[in-house]
Amino acid sequence: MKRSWLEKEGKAWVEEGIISKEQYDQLVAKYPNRNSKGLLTIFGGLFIGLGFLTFVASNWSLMPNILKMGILIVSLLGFYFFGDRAYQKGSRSLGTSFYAIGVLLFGAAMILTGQMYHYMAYSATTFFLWGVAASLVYGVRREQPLLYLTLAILTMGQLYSWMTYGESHLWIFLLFVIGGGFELVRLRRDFLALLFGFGYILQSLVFVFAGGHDYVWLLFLWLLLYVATTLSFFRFPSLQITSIGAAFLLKAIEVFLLDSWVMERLNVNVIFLIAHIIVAGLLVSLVKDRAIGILNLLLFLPVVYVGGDGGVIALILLYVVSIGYLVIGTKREAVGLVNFGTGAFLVSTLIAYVQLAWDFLNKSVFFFIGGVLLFGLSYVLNRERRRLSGNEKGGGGR
Amino acid sequence: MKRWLFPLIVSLQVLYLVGMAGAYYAIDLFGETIDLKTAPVDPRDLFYGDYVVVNYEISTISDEKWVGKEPQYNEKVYVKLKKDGELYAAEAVSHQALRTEGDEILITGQYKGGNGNELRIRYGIERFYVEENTGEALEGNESERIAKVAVAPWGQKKIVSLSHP
Repeated sequence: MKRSWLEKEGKAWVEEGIISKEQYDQLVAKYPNRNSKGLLTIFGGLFIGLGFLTFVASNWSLMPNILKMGILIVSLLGFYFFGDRAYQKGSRSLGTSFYAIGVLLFGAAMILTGQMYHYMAYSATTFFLWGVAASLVYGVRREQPLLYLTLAILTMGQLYSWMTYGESHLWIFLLFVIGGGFELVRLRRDFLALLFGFGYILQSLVFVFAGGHDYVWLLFLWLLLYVATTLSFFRFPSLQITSIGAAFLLKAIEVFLLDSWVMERLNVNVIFLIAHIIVAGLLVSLVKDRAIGILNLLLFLPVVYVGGDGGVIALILLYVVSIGYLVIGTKREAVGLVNFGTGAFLVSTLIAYVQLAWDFLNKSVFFFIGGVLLFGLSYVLNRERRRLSGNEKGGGGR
Repeated sequence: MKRWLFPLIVSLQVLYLVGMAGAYYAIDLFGETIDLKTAPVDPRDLFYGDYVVVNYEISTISDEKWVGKEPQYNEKVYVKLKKDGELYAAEAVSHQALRTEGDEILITGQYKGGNGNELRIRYGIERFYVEENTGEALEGNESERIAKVAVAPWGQKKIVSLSHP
């Protein structure tokens, strides 16, 4: 139904006495004028903007620097200004997306200005400043997309720092961990926790490998994350799973790499050892479910210090953890724990099989037997699991 | 939320960009100008679009002039230049800002790996833009040239001119 039709007919109804003037006003107010002009304006603006953008992009190298600076600053101000106007008028999503474009433009402008005036960068500090600007804009408006943008910029910046300068950027790391952690505690969003966890793992990888530190520091940083999740205000299941999963994966890799001929033996790093023991102690004293806590702690042991047998010990630890989960889960009749144990057991078996049988079995026999072995295992484990979940619905406090 | 906070954050961003550009123009005001010899350039590499690739004599420095522990690739280094006749030549390279005397000047660069017993240093002024169709003035003579480089007290530098010796 068209509004114009309603207006025309409505007037006739009033004249004929079918409805009163008040009723007419109410009826018309019920069908607000959908602003088709607004949509056209947006498209018009979009087209002009695109035209402008392509023009600038294709003529960029020909323009004098002052003009380039002018274009950058005017468009930066423009996006922030119109974004803010839209935001204040109530269209928060439009305003937020304009803010986001403004933030992106600021980063691009920094890089372009640096190119124009031959700035020489010795580190990824530009990305840090970009992250600071993004977090400030987020801090003023508290729109979550801007937070995700900030975290993305900081993650990208850290990766860029690794790839371009072969080093990690401490300030980016700190801003990510402290700023992201603070907002996570404030907002308590599971999705944010997941992103934060992955970002943390990435940042710690860069931090350790680019910094040229022994890889055992990864265990320390991830154990730190795990300990943090035992605190009541930081108890996010996804973070817990991320930290334990990362440690599990690292143990699995260690099974292969710690054969003495693949990796050189590391000297014992005393500072690491002391710090690691302190954090492990913290975990034991803080964790509510002590049995599970200590079981997980096995994944964080620096088996590389054992020497040539590190790979075997890593494999044994994987099995101990998997079976531990299965036993505890079965005893408590907690489906979650049994599921986790089942998966861990299957993965451990796969790793053990690849590691032990790859060298002396014919390859087709290797895959064939491996497949049969895993099928059999998963059948037995799943039967147990189904029996359990049929019995009760207990949750597991991991 | 305080109303002035958002404008302040935007202004800071603009100010930073303006500062970046402004610092470049301020080199003329506060900078010191030195003459550097450019190493002979491969004529095929000479013109790359509308700029000249400038290869300085101080772009490769003998590793005997290194002071301190071994540099890492891409690391920031300080190069001490000493006036030798009209031109400046590399005196020492280090991680630390070395002390300079009257006819010496310190500039920063980026260590770009070694080549035999030579250190390659990038200074960020390896390109000199020329107006279109004025390239001929620089063309023809592929040998050495003198680059006038202005160095600001805050470490920034730029090529002022490129001329025949």
